[in-house]
Amino acid sequence: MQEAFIRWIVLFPLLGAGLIAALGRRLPRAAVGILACSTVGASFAAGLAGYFRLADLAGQVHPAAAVLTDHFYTWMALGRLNVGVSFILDPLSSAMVLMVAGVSFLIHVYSMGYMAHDKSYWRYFSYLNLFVFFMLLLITADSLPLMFIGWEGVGLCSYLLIGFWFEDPEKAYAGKKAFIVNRVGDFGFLLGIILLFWSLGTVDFAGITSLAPDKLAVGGTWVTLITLLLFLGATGKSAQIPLYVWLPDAMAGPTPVSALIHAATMVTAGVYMIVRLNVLYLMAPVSMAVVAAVGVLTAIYAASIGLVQNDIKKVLAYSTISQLGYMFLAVGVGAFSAGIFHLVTHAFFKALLFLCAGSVIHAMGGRQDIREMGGLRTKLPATYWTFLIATVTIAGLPPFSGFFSKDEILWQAFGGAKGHWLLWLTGFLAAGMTAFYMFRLLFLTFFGRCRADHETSARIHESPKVMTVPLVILAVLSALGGYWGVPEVLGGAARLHHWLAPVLGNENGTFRFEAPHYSHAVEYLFMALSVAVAAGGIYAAWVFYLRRPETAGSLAGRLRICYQVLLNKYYVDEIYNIFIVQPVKLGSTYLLWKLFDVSLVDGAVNLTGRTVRGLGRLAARLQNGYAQVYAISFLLGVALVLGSLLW
Amino acid sequence: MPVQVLFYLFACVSVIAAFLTITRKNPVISAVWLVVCLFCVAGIYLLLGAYFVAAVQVIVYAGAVLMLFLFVIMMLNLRTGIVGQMRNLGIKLLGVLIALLVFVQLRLAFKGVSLLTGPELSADFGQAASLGKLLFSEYVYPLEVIAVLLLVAVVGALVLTGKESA
Amino acid sequence: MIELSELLLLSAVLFVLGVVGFIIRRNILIMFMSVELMLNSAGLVLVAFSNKLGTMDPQVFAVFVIALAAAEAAVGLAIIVALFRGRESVNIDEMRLLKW
Repeated sequence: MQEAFIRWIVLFPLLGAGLIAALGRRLPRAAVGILACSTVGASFAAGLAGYFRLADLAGQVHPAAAVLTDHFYTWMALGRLNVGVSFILDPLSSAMVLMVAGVSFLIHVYSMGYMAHDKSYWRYFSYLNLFVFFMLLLITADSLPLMFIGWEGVGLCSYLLIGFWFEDPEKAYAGKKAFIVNRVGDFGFLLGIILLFWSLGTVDFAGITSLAPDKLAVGGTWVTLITLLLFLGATGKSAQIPLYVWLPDAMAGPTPVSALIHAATMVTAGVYMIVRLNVLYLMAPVSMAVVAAVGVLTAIYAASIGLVQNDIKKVLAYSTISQLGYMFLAVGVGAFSAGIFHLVTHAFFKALLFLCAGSVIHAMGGRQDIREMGGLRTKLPATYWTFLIATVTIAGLPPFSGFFSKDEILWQAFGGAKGHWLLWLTGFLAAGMTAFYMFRLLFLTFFGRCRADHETSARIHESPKVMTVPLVILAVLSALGGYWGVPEVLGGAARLHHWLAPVLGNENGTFRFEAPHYSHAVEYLFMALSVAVAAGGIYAAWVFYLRRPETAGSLAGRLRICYQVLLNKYYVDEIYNIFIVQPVKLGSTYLLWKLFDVSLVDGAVNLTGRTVRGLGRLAARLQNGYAQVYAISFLLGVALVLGSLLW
Repeated sequence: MPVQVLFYLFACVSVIAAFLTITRKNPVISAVWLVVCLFCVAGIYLLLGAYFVAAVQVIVYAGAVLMLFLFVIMMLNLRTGIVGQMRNLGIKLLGVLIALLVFVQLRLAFKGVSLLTGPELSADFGQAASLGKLLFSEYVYPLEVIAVLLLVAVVGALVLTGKESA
Repeated sequence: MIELSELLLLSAVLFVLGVVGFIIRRNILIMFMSVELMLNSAGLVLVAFSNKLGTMDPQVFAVFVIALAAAEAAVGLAIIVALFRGRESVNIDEMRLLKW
């Protein structure tokens, strides 16, 4: 079904970015902020209209045909390759559009308060709008090349926004790191696209979904290679092992940016891409296993680092990596709808957590170390309550949304068609850690007595309304967002699951896997276990940081090596430095630069230059300024023309 | 046939005059030989029945243009030829060779049309009246363009030679 | 009766003499005269064909050629005068500003 307004979902933020970039310097701050918010708001409204149109359509036609498309123009038509700039709104992308545009809108509003005093206000909003444009492009693209444009675009905006305060070399470095690490993944992604085109002859999603089951062998080398390469791209964008290292450093950007890009939207691109190509992944069991294993390893790995970090944003960064690991675990075991469900709820509560952290940092005058905080509960009541809701949600206590989405994933990891008890156990332990470090963060920040110096604590104040209102809205969404996916076993309707079913190969009948059957009692038991481990984590945090604060220190003392390893993030940055960065640097310096570039490339260039200059000297002798020599060349031309006519 | 005799006379004189035009050292002499050449060509026009064109040739070319040349030569007070080293001698020799080549090519090109024999000419052929009718009816737009061109040339000449006051 | 081929031969000779003059002479004035020679040979061809085809249209163009030659002479001589004012010379070899 062709719907021309779909393009406006994507184009509104581009319009905003362009307008702000062109005029922002001359417009008053309020106008810039309102313009930026309203374009994203317009996108959200268009997305909502698309959603209702789609829901309407789904009732009338076959569910699989309920898709809105908008062919904007043909981008490339080269032989077999035909790529259009076309947008697609199906159940999957409409859910993502609503989430992205909605959360982005709230973060834009929040940014008006947070960035109010920044000197590059307009530049910030221009980047932010551009980011939303690329993200929506990524989501609504109907083909892999177009998605790749969005994929690269969000990487670019991420780089721009992480290095937003580029006067600080460390922040500029963090931006570069994010960009370069992502480049590694993007290279894999691009290779995957090329291989896919080579083996299938099509790159648009509809074509892939329909052709792949016929043209590729299930479990074959090609499909495995393609999916693994695409997954490499996903590990870069979505910060999974081994390419997660950029995300903690990305906290150098303004906090709303962290909320928008590194929690709610860009990092979910990898998950989205895998769900979008679920048919391919279902055909490659090896890749699925790799995805699940990487996901669950990342989940527990990042959670363990998060246990000991002291920077409020770093804790949230590792928590994000860990939660993304859950999403990959979900898609890796074939529970695509559970992955998307967790993606959406995570967007709500993690955006909320980051924005609360921003509010705290704002109040603390830029300080981020939780050892200097404490007792902020009474001073920042709105922030405290919303942070509490988000923390409870991420810890996975019912009836908040995080419980439903995380529990769904854990259950699928155990009882799903491709589940395994080891996957479940690892995820289960990570869940306990999550509850522990989140409540540690909560207790250290908001409880106890204030550890800030006198001057700072005197100036602590609650953030303005423009910042707290988005917090409240996100808190409501975090708490109630689970309504969309309450599983049937708990008497819910699992609406999201049914909504997404038409685009999922294992739900609409393209592929069918027999899941082992468990009674409801087993499911209830696992839910109880999930709640119990969360509660255990919370209790441990309470004991360590509120009841007997000295315990944490003494434990760290007794497990000194463990503690140091965790605090230094397993020394991964150092290992990468020794084994990857330095060899690449040395190789670049001595092999590529000194040898290859200077003698070979420069030599070739110089030779070209010299040859051309020599030829030029020869030719310049004709241009000697003597009019009669010119006349002779003219005459020669006459003779040649006459000769050719007479021939 | 006197016409033929006259033609050969005019043709020989015009070629000799042209040769002398381009070989004399003194530009005044060259200009005078050029006048001779143009007169001869005007004579050939007369033999061909192009009376008006012959008249224009004499009045405009031999009269006005050549007067202009002589006037400039005198104004610049150029009596002697240019002294000094000949430059680009080799390439000029090559140019002359190419010019001879062009001559051969022109001969070859004209070979096919030499069989044309003239039809009977009407009584008013080449008269000022009939040519004027043609100029102001069929060719009136080109004529106007040429008129504007002459005007532009006059203005251009004034601009170029005017005092550099601006 | 004058043969067309003879007329064309004469015109070709005059043209090539003009060309040679233009190439070998260093005096701008004489180069200009050579150009006039070439224009003349063109007029001669036009008139010759006018006679042989029995139509007057080529004569119109012969008139145009003469008018063009007049215009060209006016502007060209003006340029020579302007140049001479600046350089005290009419030697084409000394006018090389076009190089660069």
